[in-house]
Amino acid sequence: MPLTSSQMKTLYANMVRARRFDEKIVQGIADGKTVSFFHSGLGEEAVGVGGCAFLRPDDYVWFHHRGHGIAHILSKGGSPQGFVAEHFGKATGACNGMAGFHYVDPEHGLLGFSGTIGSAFPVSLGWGVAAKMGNRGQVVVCFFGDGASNRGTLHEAMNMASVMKLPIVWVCENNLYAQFMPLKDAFASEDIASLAIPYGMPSKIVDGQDVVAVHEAVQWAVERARAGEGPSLVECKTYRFRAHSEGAPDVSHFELRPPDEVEAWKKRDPLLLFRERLLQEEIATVGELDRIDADAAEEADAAERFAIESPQPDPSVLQEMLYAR
Amino acid sequence: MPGHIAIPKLGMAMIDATVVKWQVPEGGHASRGEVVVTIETEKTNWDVEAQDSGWLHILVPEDETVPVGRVIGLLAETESELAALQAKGTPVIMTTTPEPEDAPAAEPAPAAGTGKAGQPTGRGAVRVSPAARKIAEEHGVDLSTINPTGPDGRIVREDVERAIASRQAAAPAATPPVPVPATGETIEGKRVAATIPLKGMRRAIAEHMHRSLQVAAQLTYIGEADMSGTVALRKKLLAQEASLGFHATYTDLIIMAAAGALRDVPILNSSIVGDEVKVWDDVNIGVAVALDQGIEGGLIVPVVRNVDQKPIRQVSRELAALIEKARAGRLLPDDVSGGTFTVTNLATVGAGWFVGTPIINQPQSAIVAIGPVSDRPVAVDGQVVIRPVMPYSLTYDHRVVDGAPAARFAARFAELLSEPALMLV
Amino acid sequence: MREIPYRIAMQEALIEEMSRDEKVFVVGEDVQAGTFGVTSTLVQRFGPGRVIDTPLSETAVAGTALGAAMTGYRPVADFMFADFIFIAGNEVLVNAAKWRFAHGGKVNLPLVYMAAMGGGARNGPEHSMSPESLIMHTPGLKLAVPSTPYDAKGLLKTAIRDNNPVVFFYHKRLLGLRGPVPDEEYTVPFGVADVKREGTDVTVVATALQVQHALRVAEEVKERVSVEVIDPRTLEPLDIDAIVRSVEKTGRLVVADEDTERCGVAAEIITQVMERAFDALDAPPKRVCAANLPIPGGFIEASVLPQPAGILAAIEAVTGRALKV
Repeated sequence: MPLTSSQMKTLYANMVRARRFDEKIVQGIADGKTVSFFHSGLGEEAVGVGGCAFLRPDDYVWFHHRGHGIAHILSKGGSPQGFVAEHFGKATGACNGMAGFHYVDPEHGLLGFSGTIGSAFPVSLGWGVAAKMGNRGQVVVCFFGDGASNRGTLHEAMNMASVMKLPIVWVCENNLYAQFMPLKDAFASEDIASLAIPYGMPSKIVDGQDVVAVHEAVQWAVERARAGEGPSLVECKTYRFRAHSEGAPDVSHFELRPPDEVEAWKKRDPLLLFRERLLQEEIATVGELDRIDADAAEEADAAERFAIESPQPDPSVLQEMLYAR
Repeated sequence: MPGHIAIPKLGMAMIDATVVKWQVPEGGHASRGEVVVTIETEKTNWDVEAQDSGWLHILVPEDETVPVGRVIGLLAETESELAALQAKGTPVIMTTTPEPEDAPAAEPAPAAGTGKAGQPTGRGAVRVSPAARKIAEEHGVDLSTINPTGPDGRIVREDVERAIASRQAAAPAATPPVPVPATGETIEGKRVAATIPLKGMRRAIAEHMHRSLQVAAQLTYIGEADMSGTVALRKKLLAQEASLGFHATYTDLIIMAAAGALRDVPILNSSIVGDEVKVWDDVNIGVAVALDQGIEGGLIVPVVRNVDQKPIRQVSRELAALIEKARAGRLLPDDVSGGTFTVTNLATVGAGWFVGTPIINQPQSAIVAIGPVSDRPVAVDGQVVIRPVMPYSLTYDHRVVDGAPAARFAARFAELLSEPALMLV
Repeated sequence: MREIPYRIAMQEALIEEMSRDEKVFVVGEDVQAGTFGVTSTLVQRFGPGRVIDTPLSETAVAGTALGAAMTGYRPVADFMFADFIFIAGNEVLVNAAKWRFAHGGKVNLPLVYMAAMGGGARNGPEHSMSPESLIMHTPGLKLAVPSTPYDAKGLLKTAIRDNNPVVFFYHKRLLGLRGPVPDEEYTVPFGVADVKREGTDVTVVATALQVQHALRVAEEVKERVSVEVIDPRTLEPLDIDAIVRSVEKTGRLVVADEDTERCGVAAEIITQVMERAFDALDAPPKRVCAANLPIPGGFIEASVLPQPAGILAAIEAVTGRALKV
């Protein structure tokens, strides 16, 4: 089913919002407001936004560390205030300031995150088992990077998910680098999607800079999953515009990433590409899009103020965080 | 470098000893091989000889109990070295050997990097458990006056509690090792003639006897043996004493008979070990020897090993040697350990017909006490005749030994005494 | 009271809890057959949808429990051998242990990770461990180590009802141990030590199989020394109060535990007693643990694992009484 113009504008809005919030956290690193580290997702917004758009609130999403999941979180209905406040170490953060960069919102199917790369697969597997047992048509969308595909947990989880025909959509956000490691030196095949073959599931490879293409591919996989046909794999070819993390060198191994490669990808900024398309196809006017841009900037400023004004967590809460009663 | 006088390890089970008497005074000269000090272990006294010649500086006073290996005196090579040692004051604790750690055999040595636990505590040279220190502080007890009895020579709670109790009983602060003559002390209106410290051998006897009655189901079987054959045999042996080379005693013959009866009824030659009864292949018979130590008395049980395997001549010589060592206080701990059965001869201190109810020497399962041999009228073939008769009593542990085997043992024991020739079979 | 084996007591706990709450399910490798006879018969009763045989994949087992617990299920995941928990170290020690804490207490993990621990079966270095200290060391995991059929059943029921990750180590050498278990329903609370035998001269704190060893030794030496045997039953939470009370009575402490001595459970318990009740101690406490070596297979295993003779020797050392006959 083709996207409506309203849905197209929502995709655009979420990409703009993701970019503004990502920039807020990058800025926070520079001026000391962000208390932890940050792995900017600038340039990759189309994957999270396209992949998470129009899922059900009770579908489970594993976002990954690029942009600390802001594109996925916003698209899934999560609150940006909690995102910024958490990064600023405040008690009003999504994790009550306990994690610094995690995000959780069970109401919107965001059950949390782990910073150990490769944790995505076994946890998503468990969500998939639960979704299947619950038998309410829930699906799991698990985003992971090309680096995570090097982990053995991928094999263990993808294998069992296929064996059990679990409703899981595996989405690889392939930005070609795992920190400083180029994919060609870390992965034995050309495409991550080729992993679908041994696990007996279908796959698609899409342009990760095209939010609609991403959305359509993931939607195809989601529908299969809801219909009980088991997991699928979608690989999104994308690129990060900034270094692995703020303050880290922007290198491939030990040398700068090739400047022509960086320039070529920056010309394919997903936000600009989609804006042009909306205007070209007359889905939205410049005025509409400018208003969306302004709203996003204002929303980001407000969340930042909220975070700045929020108190730090009180150490007295530490013990009660550990165990549930 | 001064030489050391240290507590020797005189047996596998020995963990400490009490300094009884310094035979050489402080500052006196001792020659190599000369007895310097007498020490007392749980059951025996031992003279420690100087390994070097020199002038003695005493580190541990008389009446103090210290662990094996503890250096109790130093032998200075020169008089000036002696003066220097004496000037140093209270010395730190020295030992000749690291104290053995009783690690279970199944466990290998700790890996490199693991330290050995239990070295002296930080506060001074005396080892004191935290509990003992706390109680001592609460009651104002001077720890230096206390004899440690805990593991590794440590003062433990019981030691301090004992000190507090004795202080409350208005006992002298430092109890001498010998009985104290009456000094007009009264307790609950009763005048005290002598105070015997419950320590050393006295304490060991008290604890062993009490524990034995606590742990075992003891009952006593009483009978008498016709000793005609034994009396006749002994007469013959004594007649040829010079050529045989030993002096046969009733005790020798009685333990031979006991060994023979144990061979036939082995369940009496056993111990409870854990959940099991171990019936011993070795027949090691302990013989109770009373010691004349004045009002205090004393008792020690040297052990003749493998009695059933030895001719009477050897048994007799070994027993005689042990008794002599016992009376001289020279028994080694290994002389008094390893018994599997005990014989106690009450006849040495009485006459006429009497028996006792002996207490089992733990962890054995039986003990036999013998009374005096005396001529008694007995009925033989319908006639009253006079026969030498010996009453005896057999205490056995009913946890291990039932009445029937006990009776069988007694019958065989009496039979062998009556017809000692059967021991040849 | 009827007497049943330890493994059947565990099985009863699983049957009762699965009947009581449909959110409870069992997952692991070969749990339908039940490698140790614990989970056997459950599949006939509850079907393969609630007694899930997984591929040979510990991270998949751990992840299934982890993910499903986040969504409100109460999984019981079996690792077969406790040694295998290391394979899923990230899932157990990093993810499960920290998840609730790191997400501000907003997601609970009501799951049980169970596994057979302990030597005595001569299975060699990779199938004989008792990695209790690893779990006890990790904040966020509870740890139960039952020593009797009664405790095994009652603790497992409590573990399943607990709203937190519980590691439940059952001891291989106890599986066939028979003991009284009431017909009526009961649970055993966490954090409540059980005085398995009262005594006045020395406190022996023992876990799992070592409890049985300690009771045997206590009986053997009862004429000469009065031994109190305390079974903490759970090591997290640890009922240190009960242990301290006992040491205040006896003044002497031996801790017998099958994990490796260095940095082990015994070291922790003794340290806590030193901190809380130093003045009650009348002798330096002793540990009776596995030697600081891997556990060998075959006959030589006994030279590394703690034995009753070691407990006896430790009691002798702290009391200064010769107890060997």
